[in-house]
Amino acid sequence: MNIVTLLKHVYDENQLKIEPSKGDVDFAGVPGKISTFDRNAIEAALRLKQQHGGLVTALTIGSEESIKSIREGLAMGVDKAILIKINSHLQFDALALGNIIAKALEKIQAWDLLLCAEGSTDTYTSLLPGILASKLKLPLITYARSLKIDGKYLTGDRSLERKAVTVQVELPAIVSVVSEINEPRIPTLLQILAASKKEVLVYTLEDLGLSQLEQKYKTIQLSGKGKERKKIVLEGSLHDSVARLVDALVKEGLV
Amino acid sequence: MAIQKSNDTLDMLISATVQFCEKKIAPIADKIDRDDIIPEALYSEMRDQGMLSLILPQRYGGLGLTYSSYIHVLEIVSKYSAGVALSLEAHNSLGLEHIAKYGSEELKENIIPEIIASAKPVAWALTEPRGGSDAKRMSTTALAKQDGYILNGSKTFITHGFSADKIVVMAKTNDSISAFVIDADSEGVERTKLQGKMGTRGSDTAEIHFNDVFIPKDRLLGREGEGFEQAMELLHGGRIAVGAMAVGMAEACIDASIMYSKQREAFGSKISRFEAIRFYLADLSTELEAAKLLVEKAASLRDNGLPHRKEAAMAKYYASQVAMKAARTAIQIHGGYGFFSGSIVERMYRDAKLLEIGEGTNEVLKLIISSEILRD
Repeated sequence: MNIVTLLKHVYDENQLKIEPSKGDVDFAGVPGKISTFDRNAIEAALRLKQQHGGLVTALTIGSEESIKSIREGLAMGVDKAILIKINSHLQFDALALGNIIAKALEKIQAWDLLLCAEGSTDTYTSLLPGILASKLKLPLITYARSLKIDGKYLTGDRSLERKAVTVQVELPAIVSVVSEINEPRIPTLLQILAASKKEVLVYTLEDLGLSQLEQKYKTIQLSGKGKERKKIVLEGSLHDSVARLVDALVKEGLV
Repeated sequence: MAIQKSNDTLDMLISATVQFCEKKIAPIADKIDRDDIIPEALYSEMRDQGMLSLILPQRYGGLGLTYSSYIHVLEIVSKYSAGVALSLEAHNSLGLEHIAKYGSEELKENIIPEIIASAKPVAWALTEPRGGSDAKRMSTTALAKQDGYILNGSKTFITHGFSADKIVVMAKTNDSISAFVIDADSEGVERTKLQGKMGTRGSDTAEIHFNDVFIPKDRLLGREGEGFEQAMELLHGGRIAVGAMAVGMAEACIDASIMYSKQREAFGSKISRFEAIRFYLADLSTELEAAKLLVEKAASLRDNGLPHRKEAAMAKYYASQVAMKAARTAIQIHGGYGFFSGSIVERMYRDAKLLEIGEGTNEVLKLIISSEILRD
């Protein structure tokens, strides 16, 4: 069972600075990190590998900086990684990224399953799994919260808003996972040290024979959105406050 | 002075340690302090995480971290639980390190996998009831006989001396001091857990009596008569590690004070707006940076095999005072809320005091520093 996971290096959204009046986002000096839900996809891949054997390869499109996140994936247990080097991880739209990934997958001789997150924590288009499935003509399971492999079949529970659907596809297949699928492991310190010795293959777009990449949309403006807090303080006895808290939460539709 | 630059691997070590502490230590830190015991399950998890073999060379299955990296792990753990950090420090810097550095290859091949598999920290027994700082005048003896030694005497204030499976003991052989590693369940070993410790609770502290304990010959570490020099060499590393603990604890107190002062209101304003509070925080942050640099410099010297007796003493002497001051000031900033158990600054205040005593009292460290600078 050879598995490919998509791994993206993104800006740490918790450290973005947003100018309060205009909402301008300042990326200067913001550190990068592994896209949060990619860790769930990696964890899912590692658990399937534990059950069925094989190799897990991480595939990244990004700048040289992405090595930091790739090493984190390798420390979690990914066997090897491929980096397709571009100038910035925000350089291409989902369609172009789909084309690059499809080409890069040719560098991986045989794979049975491609796992990715439901979306990346920066652009969050969630388009990539569909684009890849369409381009590679492979079955797709999106928003998977559990996965089970039985021979050449993959069964997955899809997490949808008010219902859950169990589906089955034949491998090879593409799957996007939601964060509920697992709790990503913390790499052990020994694995972290070992990660620096694992193989990372680096290719350029030219190496993949890609010179012109079609893009269908471009970002016109990017601005941060502040969230106004309601700052409701409930005073009085504990008994009354709890009752009013429950009422307020019900009114907000939160419980 | 060369300051080791941050790199991806070190960043990952730090990030993984923070995640581990958040998940495994933070939820039980108060319980560890209250019950004065570190659960065996936590030791197993720390073993699996590599935290029981941090500086142990890779050829013996350890991580082989440099001191410059190791101090960051200790700093982080100390922010969550000084008791756990102390146990890690005593095990990694003293007990296990003594065996790894001075044991015979045959002994290491036998004993180190057993220690790691047990997930029990190694105790290191130097201090005696009749005098801690005056180690040379110890009264514990190991009399040579044909196939080994017979150990008699007492040791006290031994970190995890009650729960350890293996104990490194310093004892007099003729006129000099030698070091041995013994099994804690050997016949003639009596251990008593000392009760009522003020801080760094969780890591048990024991008094150990040795009554005609037989030590096989191959349990001698290094050569006969080298024990004192070995112990002093290890203590230089231990002092850097205690300095790192102090840095972590001071940082925890400053972080808690920043958060509290930004929330607490008095006279219609957040108390972080008041000059008195701002000056406290400015002083503490400046002193913390200085302490960090001293610890990092001493670690860098040790990593590079350069003399660091003075620097290690300075690092522990200064950083422990910064931690103590940070804890005292943090309680002042927290007011009444900092005076009750359940507040991290109250716990750190009790914990920080040990840093001025253990691994060489600060008075002894000042004698070391002055003897180094006066060269007398």
